[in-house]
Amino acid sequence: MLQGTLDLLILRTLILGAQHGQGIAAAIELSSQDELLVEHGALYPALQRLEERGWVAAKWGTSTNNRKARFYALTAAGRKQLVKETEKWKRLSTAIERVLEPGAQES
Amino acid sequence: MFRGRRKQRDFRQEIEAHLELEIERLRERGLSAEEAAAEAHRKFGNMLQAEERFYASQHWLWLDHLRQDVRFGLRMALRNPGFSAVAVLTLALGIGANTAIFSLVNAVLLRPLPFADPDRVFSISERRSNSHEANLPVSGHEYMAWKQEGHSFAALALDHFEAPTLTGRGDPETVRALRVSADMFPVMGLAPELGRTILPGEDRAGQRIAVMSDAFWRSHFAADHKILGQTITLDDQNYEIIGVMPPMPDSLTPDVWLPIDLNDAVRSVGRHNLSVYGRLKPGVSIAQAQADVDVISSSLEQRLPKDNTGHMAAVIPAREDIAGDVQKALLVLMGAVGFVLLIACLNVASLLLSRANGRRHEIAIRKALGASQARLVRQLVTESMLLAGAGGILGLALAVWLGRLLPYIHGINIPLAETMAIDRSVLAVTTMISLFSGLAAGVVPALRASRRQAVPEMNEARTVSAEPARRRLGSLVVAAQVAMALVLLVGAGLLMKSFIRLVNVDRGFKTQNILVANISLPEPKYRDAHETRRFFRELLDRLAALPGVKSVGGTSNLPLQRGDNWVAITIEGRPELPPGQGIFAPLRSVTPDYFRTLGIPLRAGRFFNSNDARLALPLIRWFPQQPSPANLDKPQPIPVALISEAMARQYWPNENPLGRRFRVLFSPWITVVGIVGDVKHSALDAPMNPHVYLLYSQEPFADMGLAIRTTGDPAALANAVREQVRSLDADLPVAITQMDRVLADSVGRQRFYVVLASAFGTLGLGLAVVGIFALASYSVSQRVREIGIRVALGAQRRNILWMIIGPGMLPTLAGALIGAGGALVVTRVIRSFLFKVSPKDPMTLAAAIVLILIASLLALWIPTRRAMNVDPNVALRCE
Repeated sequence: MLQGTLDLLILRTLILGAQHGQGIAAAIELSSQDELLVEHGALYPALQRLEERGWVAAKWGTSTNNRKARFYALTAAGRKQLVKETEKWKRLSTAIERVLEPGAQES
Repeated sequence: MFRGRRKQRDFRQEIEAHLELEIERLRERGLSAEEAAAEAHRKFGNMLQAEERFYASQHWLWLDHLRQDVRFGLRMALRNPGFSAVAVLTLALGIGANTAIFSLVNAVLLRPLPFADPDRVFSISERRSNSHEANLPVSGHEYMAWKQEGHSFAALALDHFEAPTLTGRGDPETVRALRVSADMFPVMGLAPELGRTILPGEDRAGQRIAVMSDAFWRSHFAADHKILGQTITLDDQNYEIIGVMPPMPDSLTPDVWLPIDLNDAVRSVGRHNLSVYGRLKPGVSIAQAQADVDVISSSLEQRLPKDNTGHMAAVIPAREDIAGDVQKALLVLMGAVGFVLLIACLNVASLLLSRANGRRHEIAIRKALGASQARLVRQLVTESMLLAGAGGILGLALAVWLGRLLPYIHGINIPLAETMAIDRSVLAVTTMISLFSGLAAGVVPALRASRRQAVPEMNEARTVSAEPARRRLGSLVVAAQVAMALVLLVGAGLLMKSFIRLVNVDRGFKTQNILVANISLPEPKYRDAHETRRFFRELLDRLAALPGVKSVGGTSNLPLQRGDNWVAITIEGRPELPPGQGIFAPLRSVTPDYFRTLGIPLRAGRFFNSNDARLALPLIRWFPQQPSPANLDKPQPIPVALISEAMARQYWPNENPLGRRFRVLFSPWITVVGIVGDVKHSALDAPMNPHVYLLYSQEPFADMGLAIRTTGDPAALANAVREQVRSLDADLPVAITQMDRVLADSVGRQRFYVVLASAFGTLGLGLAVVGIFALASYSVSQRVREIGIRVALGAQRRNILWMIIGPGMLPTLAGALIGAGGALVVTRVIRSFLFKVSPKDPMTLAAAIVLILIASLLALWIPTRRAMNVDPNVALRCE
């Protein structure tokens, strides 16, 4: 997976509300129709990184099925970052698209 | 950064929670418990790696590693106390010497001068087309022209040094007084600590006010705050104390500032005895100021050609005015001591290389366990940094100690050296030097040690002979050390030879067994030349009568003590010389026995005698309107002079000067009655200048230096001399020393340089010898088995000797060769410090090479003996 992509996906997932790591992984898999498989092991250092940058805040809570889990929520800074990252990503994907399908824009 | 720092345990719990949640989800999809667990773990991937990445993100890993490295380094250092001690001591010597010299350089050349905005303070002094001397004193009319016509200076001040006698406070004492114009205080830009300073308008005749230095206030008035309004008596006149200046370095402050008589100073055209200091206006550059002053100089030259032809003025930064003489020498010393540091670093590098070899096994294991090369290098460099750190601390202590020693070295005569201290910039530089040393000594050994392949090293049994690469590198290090040590030795040798030549130069007078007493008669009390003459005649008679005194001579100015007194001379019957090209010669007034006392030989004619004493006094400043003494109508002895050989050669070439006449300033014609030997009057390295001697009883001076030749130890007579002075005038201070001391002090600065250069040379040599010794010892220890085999196979002790000495001497020889070439280039920078020695002096170079070769042989002696005594039975069994 591209550097930074995982961060974007996590932030995007959290916009729907606080979620724990496993939930985030499941949500990404679900919403990408299993197209994007996240190695769960990579998820946690990424979450840690986002937490350190102040884009997500974490606290221990209880999951829907009454298990202890660490919940992550988007902060204001994280929201801003998500907008920025999304725009960047869109620009990038448009650019790639242009390269792959030249002329698509004109038609 | 530290916000929300999580514990590793918390992270692990989170992962466990994740796995449980995942298993649950999978089981909901219908997987069995085992299948779900396996799948959850598979999806998670490498758990350990995740944890490691988390750990790395949570900690400043390098700090962690540093802590490990330091702890490990300390353990290593303590396990090898001998090695560590040698390394730390070596670095301490190098760092300490560098810190000491830097703190001197910092004090003299770098630390801002204690004036407000010191970069704007300049001196203006005179340069003359017919004089080599750079900074000549200024005449008052020049000062006035600069002040009135110049536009560059916000304030321009005049000063003149005096040494009046302080009385009424215990023993009479000579104090350092600076007669200044009121502008001096704005030029310095310093406010008084107490009271006020001299105000504009107060710098005129009859103003008896004094501003004291902080040091004088503390030493003489116990820092009394009620001092203002009290008086001090200088030369029998009372001065009201109006202020105390803040503390300043001793070499920048007099004891008291007194107002100068500005009108008198400015009126005197042609009398050059003043110094001028100015503060540049903001925004004016030194070049602008110089151009400004140049314009005025040339206008003066046109207006008053007689007094100003060829007189140019130079605007010089205050720092250069104060320390310009020593700047170059200090920088050269910095360079030399830098060499010492490099040699020390190479030594430690060499030691580390040897030890790294002993640690091959350890390093190989570390590598096999997955340590990266970068990690290993970091650990090894940390170890050398620890050594350098310890060396730095010890070196700092050494520098502090050396700095304390400085005041005890006599006659160094380096301005501002007294302010030498370990301040923040010295600490910063020491830290930098230590870091540099640690890197310089540690990086190459660390790189080499960590580059080796792990597996072969671990499997390898001891090889028979030492690793050739290590020896090549070691030899290179030794060669570099020897080369640098040789350069230092040659430099020190040249300075030493020059110094020996200097102190043994024919100075034209004797110094042994001569007591020196300087007496200065205060003007108000001894206003009359006759009184002055009477006093000294009486004193000299009394001193000559003391037991143990062979002869007593007096002069206005003893050799090597104060600057010369140059006067204009007109020779009878010669055409008048154009302005700026007149004859000037130093003049001394002497008593008849002066020459005999100092052992100055007569070359032709006669000495002075008592029949030459005249009634009309003085000769040079004699004005007919003075009251005529009794018997002046009787025939007077003619004015007479002695001249030096150089004077005779220069101004009466191919002529007999005896009986010829000349005039000094506005004196009557003076007849040359004798020629005496040349004397080094101003300095031992100065040329023998033409010189004029007048007779004391014809031209009395109020300041006299007495030379008293004794039969025994001159010091024993000091009290008797003081007693005699006191019995004539109890208020006269008398400064007593010995001629030998005067001579020694006159070359104090040169001696200081020689001592330092020799210390650096010795240190460099010593360190290089240790390096040679270490390399050879290491080489022998590595080759014990080889030597054992050779001996067992029938090698003679002679063969073993050559086996060690040969390769041991090779790097020394190479280093000596390189060093000799380097010395020929490098010693050029000390050419100006050398007296009658060429920087390419072959004897010095040869001596230094021989010294270094002998030292290397001695260094090789112990390892070689050990090699020759190897017992093959023991050597072969030890594996």
